[in-house]
Amino acid sequence: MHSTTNPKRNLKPEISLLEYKKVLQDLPIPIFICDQKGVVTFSNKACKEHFPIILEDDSNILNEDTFNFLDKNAKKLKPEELAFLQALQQKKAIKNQKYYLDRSGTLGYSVSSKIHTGENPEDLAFQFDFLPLNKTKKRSLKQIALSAIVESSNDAIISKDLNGKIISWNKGAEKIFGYTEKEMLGKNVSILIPSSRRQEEKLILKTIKNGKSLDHFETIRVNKAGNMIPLSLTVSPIKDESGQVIGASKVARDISDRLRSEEKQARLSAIVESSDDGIISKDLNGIINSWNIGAKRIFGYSESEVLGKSITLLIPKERLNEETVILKKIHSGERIEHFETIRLSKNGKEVPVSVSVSPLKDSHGKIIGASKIVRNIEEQIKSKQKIESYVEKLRILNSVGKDISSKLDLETVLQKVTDATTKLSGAKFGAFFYNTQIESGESMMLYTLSGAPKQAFEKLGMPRHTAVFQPTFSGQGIVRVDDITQDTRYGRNAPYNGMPTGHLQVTSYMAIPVISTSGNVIGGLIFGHPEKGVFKKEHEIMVRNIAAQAAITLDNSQLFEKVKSLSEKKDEFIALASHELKTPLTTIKGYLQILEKKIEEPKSKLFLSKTLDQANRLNILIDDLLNMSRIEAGKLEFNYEEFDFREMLFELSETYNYSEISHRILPDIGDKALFIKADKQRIEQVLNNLLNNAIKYSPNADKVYLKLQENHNKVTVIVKDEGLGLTPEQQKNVFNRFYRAESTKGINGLGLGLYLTKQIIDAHNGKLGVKSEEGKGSEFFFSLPLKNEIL
Amino acid sequence: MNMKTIFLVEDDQGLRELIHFLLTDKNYEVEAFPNATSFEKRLETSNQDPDLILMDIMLPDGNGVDLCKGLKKSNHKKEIPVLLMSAHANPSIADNSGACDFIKKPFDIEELYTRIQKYVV
Repeated sequence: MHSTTNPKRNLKPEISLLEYKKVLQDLPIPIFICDQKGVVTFSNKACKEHFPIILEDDSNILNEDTFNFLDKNAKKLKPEELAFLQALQQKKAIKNQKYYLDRSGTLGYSVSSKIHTGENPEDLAFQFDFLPLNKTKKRSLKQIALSAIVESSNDAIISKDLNGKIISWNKGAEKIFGYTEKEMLGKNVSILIPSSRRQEEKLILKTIKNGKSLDHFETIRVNKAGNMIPLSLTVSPIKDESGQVIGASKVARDISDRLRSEEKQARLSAIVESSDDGIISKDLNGIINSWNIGAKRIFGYSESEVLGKSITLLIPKERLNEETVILKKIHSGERIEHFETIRLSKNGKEVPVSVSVSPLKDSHGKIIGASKIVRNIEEQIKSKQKIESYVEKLRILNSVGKDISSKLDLETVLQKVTDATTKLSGAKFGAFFYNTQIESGESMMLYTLSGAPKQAFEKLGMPRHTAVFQPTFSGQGIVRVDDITQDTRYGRNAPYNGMPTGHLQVTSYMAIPVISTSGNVIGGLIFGHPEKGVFKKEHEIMVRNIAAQAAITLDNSQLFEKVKSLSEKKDEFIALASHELKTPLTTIKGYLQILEKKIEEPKSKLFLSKTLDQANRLNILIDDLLNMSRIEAGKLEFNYEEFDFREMLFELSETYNYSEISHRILPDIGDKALFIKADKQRIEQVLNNLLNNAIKYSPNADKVYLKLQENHNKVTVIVKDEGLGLTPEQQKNVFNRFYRAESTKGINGLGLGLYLTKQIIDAHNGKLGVKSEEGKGSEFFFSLPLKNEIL
Repeated sequence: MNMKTIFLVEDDQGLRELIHFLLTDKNYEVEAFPNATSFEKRLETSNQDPDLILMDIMLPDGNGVDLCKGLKKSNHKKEIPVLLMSAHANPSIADNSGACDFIKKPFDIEELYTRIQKYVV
């Protein structure tokens, strides 16, 4: 037992264990505290430098590997040979016992221990102070500095003995390999080496044993997670004082990032090289400093031809200011995206391109140039045009579809179809030939023409059933040839044996039969173009589709024409019939009038008068029918004469009021003479129609108002009743032919009166209208220009 | 008795008979013809011209307007007044025919009498 150390001494009560440890922590000599069993509970910083294996918490100083003290024969002392460890087990303190790290006894420590007591007997703690011997101390300070460097390095710095056992392991190593220092100390370095590279370690050790270094040796190691890590290794021998190699230091640098960035670089350049886009870089003066294969492909220049040259080489003269603008933007750090322009290739050809330019910056963010990505958009433009033309075609298709389905007039339909198909097929001219039967056999009649004046065909004979035309007009199918003059069917028919002189020049030829739903060949659409190979399959399909659509419409149209001609016949018939009807009517009226005079008996006289009324009504109806058919045929004739309109109204209202009618006509017509030039008879017919309607459709009233107004060089007549009135729907239709309001059931009429009235007023450049409220009555009005206005 | 003679040309038998009756009733001497041919033949062969010709325009074998124009060209017959009748609504068809008047079918008896008296005094 040593007197200076009182094993039973308590720590000063005013200093806590924590504070005590704090003091120890920063002392320059290695100090650690362990329990009775040798388990370390505290070690200071210096301790870590000197005895890295001693760590806080659970390392045991009784382990064989903890201390590397040697005896005089340089033999490592085992734990049981170390007196201070023996003292621990005997719970004794020691003082100034010397231990050496080398044979010569220059490096070593003077070890002392203290015993701290706790509350319980088991709480005994042993503090060991290792005072480095003079040289060790000096060396150790240097080592502290070196250790700090080692610890802070990102590289793995490992030392091992000649058997490969790891002696030191820095933070960098932990970072790269994933193992902690504690995990690796004392382990063999071989656990880091992939099995395939074991041989390598042998070589390294051999080199080291020979006292040689290994510089920047690139290899692969395995980390804790089992991943392969590419490394650059520098291995140096560690020598003892006598110069003998006792181990090796290894500096390993993780080069996966470097490899990655190299790989990235390689990949990027591969991308740049393989890109279809031209990728060019230039400095701020516009001098080209890189040029890929894509750029060569677009512009024709090889890299060597353009490096060091100005980018303006590629810019057409008239666009040189573009480069000024681009450079200005680049200078201010802006990007230019998808700028569409024209550039010049080596052979002087203009190339449409889309250019994106970005500023290039150095590592300090300073703009040093620009990268340019150039795309040849020739194809893009072509396909854009193609799409546009497709859209245009769709538009035409749509419009022709609408037109031909909404129009019934044969010629209009055919012209539309011919125009549209000529445009869509890209033909120089297109024609529709009607398939008509003539005595000498079938032949065609030119109906419509597009792209050439009709005179171009007028002097030529109509196409016959020649070998060329026959398939079309027999409905056999579509003919489409790139060069008709080279076709076997061409030139085989007399008299021309080919196209007659003066015929429009045709090389490309396409002919499509237009076949009705019933299978009749209505005609043929024929297209021509002076150049070869103009008509493609798509044109054929398009025209065929329109032809099919047109055929349906033509069917309808033919039906329509038939109906129209029937309708004309009907009008003719009505004209004739009404004429014929009038003759017997005249006879009937004549005899009735004779009888009227001869018969005195009142009842018979009344009956006769009623019969005469009916005959007169019949006459009016016949007149209406006749007039209507004349109007339809545009044959209604007018005899204009000048007369005083006011006077006519006056006389008319007198006539009505003198006759035995149910209503009284109340005229409000002033007394000023108002001259108009009109067909007196027709205008009277108009007034009769309106007055009779007013009476007829106001069965419960007894007045009809007749008003005449002069305003702005015209006269307006208003016939107002207090009758049934009209719904807005009825007001809309009331001037239509044969229209009769639903509510007029039980009231006679053909529905022609107002129709004729409207026709007559229209013919006089007048206006006819109606204002009405259902249940309250109607107001029909028409205006006519005053005489001066007509003349 | 100095009876006035009227030549009536009307293809419709019913109307022809009615007018024949009406005119006879008013003491005219009436010669009625159903068509243009028989009328023209009679007019040529007749020793005495009628005082008036009352003629329908639409005849099965001719047109009253044309017949009238023909008469007006002939030196002997141009003085005979011709009164045309028709169911045609437009009296202008008789313009330039040389007819003295036009009467529209159907007509009132009184209207017929008035017109005829105007030309046959």
